[in-house]
Amino acid sequence: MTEDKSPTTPRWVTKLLIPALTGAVVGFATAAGALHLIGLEPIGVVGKSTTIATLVGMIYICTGLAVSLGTASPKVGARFLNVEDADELREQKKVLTSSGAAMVLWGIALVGLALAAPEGPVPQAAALALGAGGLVLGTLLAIPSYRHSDELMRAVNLEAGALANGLVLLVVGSWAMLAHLGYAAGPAPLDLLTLFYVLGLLASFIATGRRGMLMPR
Amino acid sequence: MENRLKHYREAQGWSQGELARRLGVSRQTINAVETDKYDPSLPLALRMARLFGVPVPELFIDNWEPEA
Repeated sequence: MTEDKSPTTPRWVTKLLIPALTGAVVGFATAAGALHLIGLEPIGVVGKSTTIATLVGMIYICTGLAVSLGTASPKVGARFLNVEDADELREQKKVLTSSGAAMVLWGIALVGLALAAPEGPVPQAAALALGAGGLVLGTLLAIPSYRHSDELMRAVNLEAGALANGLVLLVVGSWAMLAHLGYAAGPAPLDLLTLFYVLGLLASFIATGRRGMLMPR
Repeated sequence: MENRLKHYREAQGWSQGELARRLGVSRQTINAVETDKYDPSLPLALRMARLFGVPVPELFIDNWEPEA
């Protein structure tokens, strides 16, 4: 294992905390900036559903871009991605390139749908093209990523899928149950879509964390 | 499941990356096996044992005993 070469900054700070905080800040700032530029204020003119969906979509886009750019330039990527060195990024290039692009496309799909008319500025037909196109193309790109994965990543993928199914049942099912009984308003379609994204991401974090893959390397 | 993968890898003077390359898996897989976060498939366990020239039970330790 590579030892920490920095005498002052712990590796988990440079490999996990800083990238996570940077991603959160950049994602939020980009989402808020995008909404502001097109004349919509976060949690103002547009509803919470749109704001949250845009933010979640931007997190996917930023994460996907970080993975894609880090893989394209391994020396730079090794500084902020949780890998041992640049060679590990080169070894995983086939998997990471397609999965990074898939995340970007999935993020674009959600942002496009979140900003759809009449609440947002994107015409509904264009939003449908972005949403459906992004989801389908992203899924098509995820297939080669899965095929190029080794057995650990395949196991993690399967576990994440099972966890996501359980989380969706728990969260969306509970919400639907409360709505059915009149204790809460039912989820809007965009909220449902956002929940699928969030719970899928959460399941991935849990599955990778259980395999020790979130530990700084 | 406990294993002695790290012991045998280091005895050969190989890095995790070198072992991963020889086995055709990712470094993350080697790291996850060595830290007991992942039990490899039977084919991979057999390849590991063959690579180090030891039986699988020498590499992976299961303390289970059959009931009498």
